[in-house]
Amino acid sequence: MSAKILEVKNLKKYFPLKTNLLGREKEFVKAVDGIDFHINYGEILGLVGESGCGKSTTGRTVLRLLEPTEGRIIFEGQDITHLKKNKLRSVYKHMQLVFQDPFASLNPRKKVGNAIDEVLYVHGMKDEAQRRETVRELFDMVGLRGEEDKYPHEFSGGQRQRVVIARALAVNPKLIICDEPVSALDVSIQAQIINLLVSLKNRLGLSYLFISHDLRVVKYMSDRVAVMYLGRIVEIAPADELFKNPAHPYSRALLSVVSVLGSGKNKKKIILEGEVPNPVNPPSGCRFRTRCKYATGQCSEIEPQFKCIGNGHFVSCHLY
Amino acid sequence: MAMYQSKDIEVYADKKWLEQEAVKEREQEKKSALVGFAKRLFRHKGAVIGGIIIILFIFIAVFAPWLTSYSYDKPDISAVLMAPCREHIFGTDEFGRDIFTRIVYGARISLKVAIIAVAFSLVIGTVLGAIAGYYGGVVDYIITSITDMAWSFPTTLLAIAFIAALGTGLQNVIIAIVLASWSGYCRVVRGQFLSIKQREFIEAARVLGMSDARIIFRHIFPNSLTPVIVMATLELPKAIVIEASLSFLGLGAQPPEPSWGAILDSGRGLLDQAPWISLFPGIMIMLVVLGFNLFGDALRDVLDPNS
Repeated sequence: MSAKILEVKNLKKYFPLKTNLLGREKEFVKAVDGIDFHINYGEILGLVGESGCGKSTTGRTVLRLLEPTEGRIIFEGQDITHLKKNKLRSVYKHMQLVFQDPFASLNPRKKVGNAIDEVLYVHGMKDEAQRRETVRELFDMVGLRGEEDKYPHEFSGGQRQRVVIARALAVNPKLIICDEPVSALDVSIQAQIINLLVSLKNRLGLSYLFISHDLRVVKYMSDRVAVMYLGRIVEIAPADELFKNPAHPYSRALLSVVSVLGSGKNKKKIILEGEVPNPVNPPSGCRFRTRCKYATGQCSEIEPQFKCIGNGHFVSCHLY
Repeated sequence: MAMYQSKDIEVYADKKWLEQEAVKEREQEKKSALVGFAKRLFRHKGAVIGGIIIILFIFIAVFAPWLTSYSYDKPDISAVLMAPCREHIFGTDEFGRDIFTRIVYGARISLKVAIIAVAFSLVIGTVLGAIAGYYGGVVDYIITSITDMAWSFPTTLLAIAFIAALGTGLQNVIIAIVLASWSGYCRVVRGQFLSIKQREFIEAARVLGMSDARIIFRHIFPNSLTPVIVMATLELPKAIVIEASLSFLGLGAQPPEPSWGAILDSGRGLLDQAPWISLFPGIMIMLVVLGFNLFGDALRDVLDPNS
């Protein structure tokens, strides 16, 4: 059961910022700076963090839409880190992406049915009648029966996101990377899309990497949750465990907001002081130390390693 | 009580009617984007005036032999330098050739040169722009450098330089115009590709395993057509003017070919005796250029989704 569908080891993605006269890059935005995680078959891993912490970059790098600077991406036991472009196509049969903005992720000049038809054609389904039937089934599956002949602008945001999901499902994937799939939608529509994603997961045995900054959504969806801060994962734990006992000071601050909103309990909101440091020059040692109230001298010198504090709960902090 | 009810029914009926209207409207919208486009174009004054001029111009060019009974190149000593009259409505030149006939045949030259030159520069510029914009990197650097060099010269001057190298004649005029004007398309298309490449649906296409060729031709290209079409419409009159200029300078159409620029030039020495020789081709060039520019501007207005 715990076989890994995706394993990411020491993944780094640096964006060059300036080039010197010789064309060599001098400074980098360290968007993702050495992260490790894995996703099991049939599992939903939530990836949370504030804007700009590298969540989306992680998702795109895993899909090789961005070339990783360092590290390894292992999908179903195959190292895809340096796979050639033409070989990636076979990987994309099993790994798909659902985007944040359903208004931007559909070709405005293509009828949605044709867009999916094209995907099927590209992936080797040459029989037209069979393709039409499959498109019909896919639209049925996402609750858009008989809407194939419309253009994207004729749909609402939620409906478009359904189309995007149908398109991702067209290749019969095992893992879908959901990059903030509901944050562009109205709250009432969010629930529909989330339930659709969950029911599809159960029906088709999918795994998700669910990237979001919305903690309530992540709590509802995920089996395990990884918390990201400034290009690093600071804590990974089963969802229940994390939301009950957040260990890392950053997670505690982040999750305190949900507790206040959600359960009605009178926990106190932890307000973080200061700004997120510049990812070009992240702080030495622990990256969170500049805003952490428990920070000691050790934190600025030694980078904390991942420690298991029981029950599949990993945290990188000197407090443990 | 009864009154309230009837009012409610009225309100209900109103609502129902509004809904039906909305449905109708939506269906009409769906009917065809093309119909809407045509409608907006017909409502645009510039498009209508420009369109009429362009249609007349094309009509004249196509049906030239049926519009006149004179020959455009046979001299007629009995009718030298005649002012406009009933037989020769635009007058005759120093060889007794009918100016109207020469202008009508000249329209063919203008149209032919403009269409062929624009078509070739469009294809060359689009392909290079697409490659530069899509692949980026070194390829982009090389193509952009060449484009910028070509772009930095005034088009007419560059065309003259090419003619100097290639020799005179209409065919070389076309080549010169193509070489002098492809860079504009290249820049526009490259810009379009750069911006559309970043859009998420292109990323989606990549993740969905589509080949570069498919992404370029099926996804990016159709979405970058609008400014290219507008640009081509506005490049047509430029090509006409360049051809006329080169012919005026004696570098393009060679006598007795009746290019408008050449006719204009032939009347230059006789401006005080026979101003009609230069006047009418000049008016024609102006009208046609105006027509294309009006139409091109209108097209830009109509195709711009923000207007």
